[in-house]
Amino acid sequence: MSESQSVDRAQLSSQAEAMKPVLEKVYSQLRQFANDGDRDWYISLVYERRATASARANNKKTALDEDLNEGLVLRVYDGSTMYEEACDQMGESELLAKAERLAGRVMVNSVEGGDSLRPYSSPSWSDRLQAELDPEITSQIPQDVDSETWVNFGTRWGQGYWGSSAEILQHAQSVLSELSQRHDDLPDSSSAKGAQMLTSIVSSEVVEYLFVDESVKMAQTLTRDRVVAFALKDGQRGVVIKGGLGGLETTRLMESDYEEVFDNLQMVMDSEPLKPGRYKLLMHPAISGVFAHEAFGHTQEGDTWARGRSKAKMLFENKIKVGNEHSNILNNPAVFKNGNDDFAGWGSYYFDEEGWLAQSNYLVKDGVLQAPMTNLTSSLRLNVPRTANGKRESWTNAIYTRQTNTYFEEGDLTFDELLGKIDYGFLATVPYGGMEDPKGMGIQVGIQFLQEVQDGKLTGKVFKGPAGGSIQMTGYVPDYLNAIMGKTKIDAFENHQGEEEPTHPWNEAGGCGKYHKESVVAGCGGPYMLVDDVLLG
Amino acid sequence: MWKVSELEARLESLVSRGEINEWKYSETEKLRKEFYLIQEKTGSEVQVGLDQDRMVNQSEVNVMITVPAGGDGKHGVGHRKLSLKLDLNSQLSQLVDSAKMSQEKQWSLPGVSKRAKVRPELCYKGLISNFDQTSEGILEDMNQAIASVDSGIFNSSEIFVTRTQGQSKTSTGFEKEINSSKIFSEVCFSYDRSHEESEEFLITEWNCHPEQFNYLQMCQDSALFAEKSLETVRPPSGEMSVLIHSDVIAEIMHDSLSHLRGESEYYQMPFLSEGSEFVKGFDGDAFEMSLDPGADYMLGSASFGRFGTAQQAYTLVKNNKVMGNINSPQFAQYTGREQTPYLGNLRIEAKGKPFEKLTASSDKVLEILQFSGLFTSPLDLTFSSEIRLARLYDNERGTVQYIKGGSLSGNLMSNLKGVMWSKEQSTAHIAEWSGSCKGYIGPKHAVLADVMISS
Repeated sequence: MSESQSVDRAQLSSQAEAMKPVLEKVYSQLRQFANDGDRDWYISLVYERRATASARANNKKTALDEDLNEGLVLRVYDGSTMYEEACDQMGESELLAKAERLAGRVMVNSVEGGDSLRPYSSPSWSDRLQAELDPEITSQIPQDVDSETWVNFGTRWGQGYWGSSAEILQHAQSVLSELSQRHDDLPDSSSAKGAQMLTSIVSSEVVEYLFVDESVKMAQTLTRDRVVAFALKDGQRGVVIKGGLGGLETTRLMESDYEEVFDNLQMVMDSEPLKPGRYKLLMHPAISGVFAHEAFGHTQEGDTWARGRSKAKMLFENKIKVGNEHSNILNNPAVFKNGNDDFAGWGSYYFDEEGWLAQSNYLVKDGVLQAPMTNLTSSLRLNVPRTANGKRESWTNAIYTRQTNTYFEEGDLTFDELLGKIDYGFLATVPYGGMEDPKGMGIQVGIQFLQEVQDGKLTGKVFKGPAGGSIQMTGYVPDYLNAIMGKTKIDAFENHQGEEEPTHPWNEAGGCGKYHKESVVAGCGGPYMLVDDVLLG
Repeated sequence: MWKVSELEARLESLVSRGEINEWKYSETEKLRKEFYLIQEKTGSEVQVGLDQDRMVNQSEVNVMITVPAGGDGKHGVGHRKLSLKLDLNSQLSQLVDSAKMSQEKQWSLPGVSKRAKVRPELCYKGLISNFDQTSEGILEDMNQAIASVDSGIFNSSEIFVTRTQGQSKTSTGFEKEINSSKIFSEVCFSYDRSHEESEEFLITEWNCHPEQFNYLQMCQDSALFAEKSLETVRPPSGEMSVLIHSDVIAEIMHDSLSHLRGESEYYQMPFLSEGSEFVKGFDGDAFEMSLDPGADYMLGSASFGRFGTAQQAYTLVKNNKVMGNINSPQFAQYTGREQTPYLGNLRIEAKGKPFEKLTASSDKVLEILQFSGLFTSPLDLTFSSEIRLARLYDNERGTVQYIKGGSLSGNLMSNLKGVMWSKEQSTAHIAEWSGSCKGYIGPKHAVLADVMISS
């Protein structure tokens, strides 16, 4: 299992390291409360330390915002309800008092005995290692691991990491400088010339988690970085976002990225209103990703199933087909190589916030729904397997079943082959949000603009929404999953260089809101995908 | 562990040494109780179970400073949350270093108003006297409401009750006590016509006081609209009059404020200056739009701005003319304009019509009951969404049909031209991802003309 050769990885901070014995003590105290009353409680603790730095540069100002947020969540599950006490007071005596308060709350409110209880005990390391795990995970687990071993996971860095916040700001300034240069070089005929604002944002987030329960002690350090470059003109924008889990390599912009900012701005400036209707739609991976995320991403969240709010449960139980042979959607927190990028996908991690090791899961396979993603309580309520999808916005928020990286599985065509299948339709490259409808199976995917395709070629004409804003793709999810005409390989343009072939489709660095709040990071992506008869308006 | 009382002395010491120009800090303690109710199925019977029960205690000290930097008309600015367990001096030293790198055009904290001009109530007293018991009481109210509904199937409900207390101070002598409450409630029922035909309808609300919620109405509406979602047809395509409710009015009208802010003028973003026509070619029901910071238990209310400027009611638009721009202390100094009130709930006043007149105002009127995801752009004031549930009033045929699906695409400045407002009034809060909420006070409904529907 253990790593044989030296790999540069993020290490746990001394502050997080110092919390390990504190967590062990608080865990013992809670365990004692349970043992004293012979109570069948599942107890766990999660410590979170989030250090963020965000640098912004534009033609009027530079700003560097730094923040440090840490908190501990004490958890007792009594077989029916998950009780939590969350706080940011990290002193040992304060935490022991919180443990006492939590135990008191559970004792007062807990339902004793009865057939309806769903007790839980955490699997041992030997059970956990039976699962098919990515080598990026197994290589960091010691050979003789047991319940007393602290297992530390750290993000792999290809090109090191920031030495200081000043370096983050310098990078933002350098991206702005490149952006300004490209803007100055635009021909006067370009509609993107004369942008009123050019802005770069570079953000770094170092998130550390410690997790303790009866069977495991784990720590992980995740470095998640992103760069955003955009240009604004007359209320329109061109934007490029790059990021992932890794080192400095995650925030490097290429020449083509800068060009894309102004190409996108120019296209939206030159666009005309779309005539609403049904068209063939070729989706860029960023759009097919939003489609995957909204279609059978949210619908396959276990807590939404358990609330009775998803139609997927009925479709799964009755084995009703929801798509054609191209309909393969995965959720995977273990994307440690993102498309052609040599770093991990934005929504990746080693274990979720309830201590479950990351693994890939099919949500839809060959058009048939698979078991849902779960957090602990939804897996127990539904009596389906655990998956590593227990996430929260921060320690102040509750655990829900959340998506990590959600994407369509790759096909076997090139981009040109897929484009050639279009007699008349559009190419969509820039997403503009999305929304799910888990019970009604509706879908909404926002698109900033559309490029016209005729007889397998881009015509150069660009369209925006009928009222001048974004375009909405709407409709019934199974209709669209049955209308997928084809998908590209991961490397749609066959331009991959290097020894290792890409293993997972590319996932964009995005975010996800759930139940109209609860914001978390989420990757979504896939190959280019062609769908017939898409309602656009 | 250092004490907050030491912080002010250290900040003043940094001022006297010329290392920082000005400062502001706030110290808050936030208590939040969260209840997650879920359906417990025993055979065909559905009970209400408690899935999660959470208590959150969060203490924060946030500091903002400005520092000398460069001398070319710029200063540095830094914001940071301080940790009580880390050394205070080294955290302040890091903040000063970081502020030196964040450069913007210089501005000064404004003078402090001597007294408040409005004094809204911002905290439900029961949450100060007994937080735990009051929170449990709110949960009980929801449980009773759920039990009172005899149609539909209960799916889930969430209740979050938050109390924030603390104080803030500035180097200019402004001191303020913080006392506020915020309550989130959602409920979702579904309706099964058969094993395969089922729909749900989620209703969410943010408020400040428990009496602002009508849990029974929320539960009944959720159950009713879940059932009606099974009786829908797709909307007709084309331009149509669309009747929107206060939550959507709040969202799209708040977007228009960005075009009135001095910040947009400074950054050369779309901007409407004082004296401009608000909507070109306007021939709708006249309305007045203002900021109202003084309404009790509204989440957009505030007696003072962040740095001690007393806030008051402020007219922005009247008779379709921009009466005033919103110039916060910083951007007023940048643009050389007079500082104005800049906080408050968005208030719209208009001579409204009865609801029945609104639904009969065109051959076809589409009443939006819920959008799937309303995406708006404050930059170009466009908006679009899938239609989750709507009612189509076909006045030629004399029919009312429920609608689901298709999308709506609009532009506020075009669709507001022929606006009609309802006589019935309402309030609404809209939550932002940052955690703050915006308030709206005004007509409960509005009709926008010629909105494009795609189906």
